[in-house]
Amino acid sequence: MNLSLQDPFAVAKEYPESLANALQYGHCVTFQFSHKGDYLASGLSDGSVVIYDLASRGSVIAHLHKHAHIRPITSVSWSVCGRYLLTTAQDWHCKLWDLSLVNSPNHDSAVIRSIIVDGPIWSASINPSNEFQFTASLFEDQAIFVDWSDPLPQNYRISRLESKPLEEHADSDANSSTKSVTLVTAFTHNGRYVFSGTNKGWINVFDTQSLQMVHSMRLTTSNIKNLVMSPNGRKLAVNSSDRIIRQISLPDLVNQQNPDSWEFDVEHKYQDVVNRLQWNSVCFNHNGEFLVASTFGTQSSQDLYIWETSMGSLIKILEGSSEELLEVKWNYSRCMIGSNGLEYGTIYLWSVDFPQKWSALAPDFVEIDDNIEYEEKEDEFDIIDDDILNKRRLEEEDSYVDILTPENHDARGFDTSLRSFIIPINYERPIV
Amino acid sequence: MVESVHNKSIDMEMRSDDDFRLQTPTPRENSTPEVELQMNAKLDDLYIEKHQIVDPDNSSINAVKISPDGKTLAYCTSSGVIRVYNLDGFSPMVELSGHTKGVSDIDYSPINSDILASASDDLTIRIWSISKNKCLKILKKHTYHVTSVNFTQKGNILISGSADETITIWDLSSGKSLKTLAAHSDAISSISLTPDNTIIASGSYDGLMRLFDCETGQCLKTLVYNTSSHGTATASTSDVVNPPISCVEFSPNGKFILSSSLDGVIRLWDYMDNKVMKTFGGEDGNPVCEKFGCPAKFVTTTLDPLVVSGSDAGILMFWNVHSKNIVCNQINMEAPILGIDMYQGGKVLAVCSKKGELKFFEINEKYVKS
Repeated sequence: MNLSLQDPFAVAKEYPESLANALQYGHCVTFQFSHKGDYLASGLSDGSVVIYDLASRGSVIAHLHKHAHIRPITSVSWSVCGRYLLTTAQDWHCKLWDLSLVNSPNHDSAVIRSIIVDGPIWSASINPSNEFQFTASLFEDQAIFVDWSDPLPQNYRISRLESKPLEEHADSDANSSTKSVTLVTAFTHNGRYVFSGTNKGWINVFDTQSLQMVHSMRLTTSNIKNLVMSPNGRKLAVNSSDRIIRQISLPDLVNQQNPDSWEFDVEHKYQDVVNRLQWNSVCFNHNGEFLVASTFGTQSSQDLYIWETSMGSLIKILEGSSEELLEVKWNYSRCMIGSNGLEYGTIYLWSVDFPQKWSALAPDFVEIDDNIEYEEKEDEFDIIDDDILNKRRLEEEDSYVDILTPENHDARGFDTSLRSFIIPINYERPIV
Repeated sequence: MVESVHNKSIDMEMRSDDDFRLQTPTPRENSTPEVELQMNAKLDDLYIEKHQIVDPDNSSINAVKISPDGKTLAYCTSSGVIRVYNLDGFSPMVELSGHTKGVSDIDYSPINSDILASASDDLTIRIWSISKNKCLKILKKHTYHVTSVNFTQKGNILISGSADETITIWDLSSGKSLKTLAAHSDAISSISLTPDNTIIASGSYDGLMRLFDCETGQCLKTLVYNTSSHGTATASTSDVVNPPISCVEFSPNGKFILSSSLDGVIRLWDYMDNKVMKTFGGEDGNPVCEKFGCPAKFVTTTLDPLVVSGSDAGILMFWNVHSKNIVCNQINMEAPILGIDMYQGGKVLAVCSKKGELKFFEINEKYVKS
């Protein structure tokens, strides 16, 4: 509700402009904002996870270190409800944390599910429609889809997601000597499909119900590094090692049931033609109108680039970090962009600046940009009797006042009626 | 960009207009005309007294709170003790002692009913564990009496107001102060938070209510009630009298602020428009409280929402928010009422007074909205 009292021009800004905060607790190697945007989970190089509360400008509220990973974390993923956190690491483990158990003296560890796979894990993500399902891409192996709704480890259902594209599309090099492996997986916004990207530039689409491949297409011949979908499900960004980000407009995956009718059009290609840099990571804003990317390499690459996606033009370069930036994530409701540094493992947060209005402190004053010719009102200096004044004031009080119905949207248009999980606090021992 | 902002605001206006049209008639159709009449006439059976506690030291009870799980009740006294009672049978549970001077305010952590924060005249704020009967943390920074404490919804931030004219925001996971808001020129008497915890409203004896952004600490707005017909810009200073604010409280939807001031009047503000929407006064225009900081709160469980406030004389008064009529003034504590707390929108009510008495009430079911 604070936004409705801020400068409307600052609230209407659609992307952040200045570095607001830097979080440094341990060496962050990967991080993710919670879906509601109030928490940030940071995976550390020592295998533990730290959770920051963003409402208090980044105070650490939990450090998950008991039964944590023993090698650097490779990905963290929040469930939509905000209660569960999935982490993967180079120690071959995937772990699911129940955050209602953290900071509690009665529970030793918050890990409620854990599996070991046959190698390090690139990344994993929780199904947006079911917090007990996830997909993970593994090092030099097929991607997996896991359903661990049943807490007993022997009842975990692990399915392989084929990385060889559908046969009718497969060309000669499907039979060639190099094996095709899946490097990234991503759920669509409603959890209906999984998109996977391979080392040969193919994108395969799987149905999460049947776990069958329903569509594949080839975008490039090089490794696909990132697959990012806009939260409204309209756009897909594909970052590959050929130094190009391809922006694809997605067909209506909800209503168009037949995968054969899908068409994927490349709308824009983003590349740095001067420095010929690879992109480390990409991310959309909430409605897919903006795209942000971080760049590979140490020279001239400590900045984030923001493009506007309808015309494909670069509109902003975010500066302020002192190291190469790896992952980039967009916090939609707070209009914030976060990115983690390679060298020191700091998380940098860019957000919108709200100027302090001095007139907020003096209710009778207004701020004006230019001098205005003041015209005295007819009754401005009339002396009105207190009784008449009071009577007049009371007459104005006849309108209906609704003190109960809450506003369901904030000034930026985000739904505020969603209740998100609150992580318990340890009042006894400071974490930091 | 300008265009879209403009449209949004128009949109919002239209929506509130629709709300107005849709909602006014509904309660009238749903409730029987007989009961509707009752919510505007004087009621002598709105609340039924269930229990009474008298402080063993007979010292003034400054605040009472019911735990978020509804199982315990805590109160604090001028002798510096906090007593916790089990609501099931009203048996005393623990006595938290440690403060060296009187305690002005307490608050339960909304996420953990075992945790209590207290604000004392000994300049400290303490965090207590009830089950361990132990003080977990002592927060020191204020340089004069601490008058109020409020947890945020997530329970990790505590906001305190003090007679040293500042508001401090504390991070309880680290025990450090995050920000100090120094914008008032007299003691802070009361603090309230919007339901989404993004705005802090403060009331001060300097007569101002200020709204702060909880995250940045910026002052967003100042509300002041001038008795003069002109603003401060045109009137000479001696004309402008801002009655000290003794209590502020956000409405359940966070769109309005209820303020009690020591001119004896309770006002309901639309803070977006800087406008007083409703004024609640005592019987025949008499003041409600002019000396003590009697709290004012909303009762939402009744057929029509009510405002409740204690008075200097010890009368617990209820007003209908819409008609501004006094609907009940039967409950008499016989001493200034210093604390009111309720559970589930007013289904149960706890009231405490300066002479060390605490009474516990339950609402008469026939006035509860379905």
